[in-house]
Amino acid sequence: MKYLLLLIFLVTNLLSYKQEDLEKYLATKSCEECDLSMANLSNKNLENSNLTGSNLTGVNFENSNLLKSNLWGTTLENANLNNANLRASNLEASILINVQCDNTILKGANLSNATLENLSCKNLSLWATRFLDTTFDNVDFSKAGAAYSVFDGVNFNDLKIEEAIFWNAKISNSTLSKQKCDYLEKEEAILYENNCEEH
Amino acid sequence: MRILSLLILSLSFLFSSSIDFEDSLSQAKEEAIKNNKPLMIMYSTSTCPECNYMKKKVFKNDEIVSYVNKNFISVIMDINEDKKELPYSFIGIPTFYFSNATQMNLIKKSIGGMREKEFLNLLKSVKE
Repeated sequence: MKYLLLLIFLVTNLLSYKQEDLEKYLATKSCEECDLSMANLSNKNLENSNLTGSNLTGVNFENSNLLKSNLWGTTLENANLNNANLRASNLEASILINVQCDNTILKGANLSNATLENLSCKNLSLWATRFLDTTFDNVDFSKAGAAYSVFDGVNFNDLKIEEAIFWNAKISNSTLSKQKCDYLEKEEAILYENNCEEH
Repeated sequence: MRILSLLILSLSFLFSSSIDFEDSLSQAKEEAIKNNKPLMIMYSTSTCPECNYMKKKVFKNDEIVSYVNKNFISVIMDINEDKKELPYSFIGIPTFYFSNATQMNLIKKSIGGMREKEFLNLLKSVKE
């Protein structure tokens, strides 16, 4: 029994944040290459944060303000971004897997070279968001607001875009089904040098 | 030929539909009281993509133009330039406020950009 408790304690510690990293971040809003996994950072004003290269696995950012933050190269696996404001934030080369993203604001954010996997977001704000060489695997952007967004070098095959607003979005050097190309043209997106495949 | 082209261009501008936005909140309030119509106030900035989608796409829809001009007195307020005159607090832009001009009582508030159909439904819900 004693060993079991010790094992649980060790496993829990291994999977959660470093206390000193959390304290540093909360005090300065800056923590590069930190381990904040499983931290509860919900309902906080974290504007202009610097979390470059940090492990944010399982972090709860629900209802938090991360406006103009730097999340370059972060791992956001199983994170909760519901109602989080990431407007004009840098999420370049970040990894977003199984992230909760209802009502998340990514307006003007940079998701270039990011990896997005298993995301299904309701009421997602992607106005003027940048996706250059971003990888999508089982991602649902249906009904999102994505006018003025930029997609370059993207494969749309695993990305759902039904009823999303793409007015004046720029889509280039990307691979899409003919159906998606037609939809984007109807939406008055600007398409050039794409591969519109017939299925 | 040049004169004819100029004339066609001028006429197309003259008859192109657009929402009649007042220049300022005070002017809008005055007009709203005079015409017994509610106010439609939009909080915006020139760099906000959602606001520009509304201004350049949704506000060009003939049905919306006609409905807004018939039923509301409208004004766009820049959250930076008109900072001191903003009648309501806000958490994001665009925000649409529909209010009574005499007391500035809020009838309805809506945040975010939306498609033409949704915006028209919002306008109609204010008038109901």
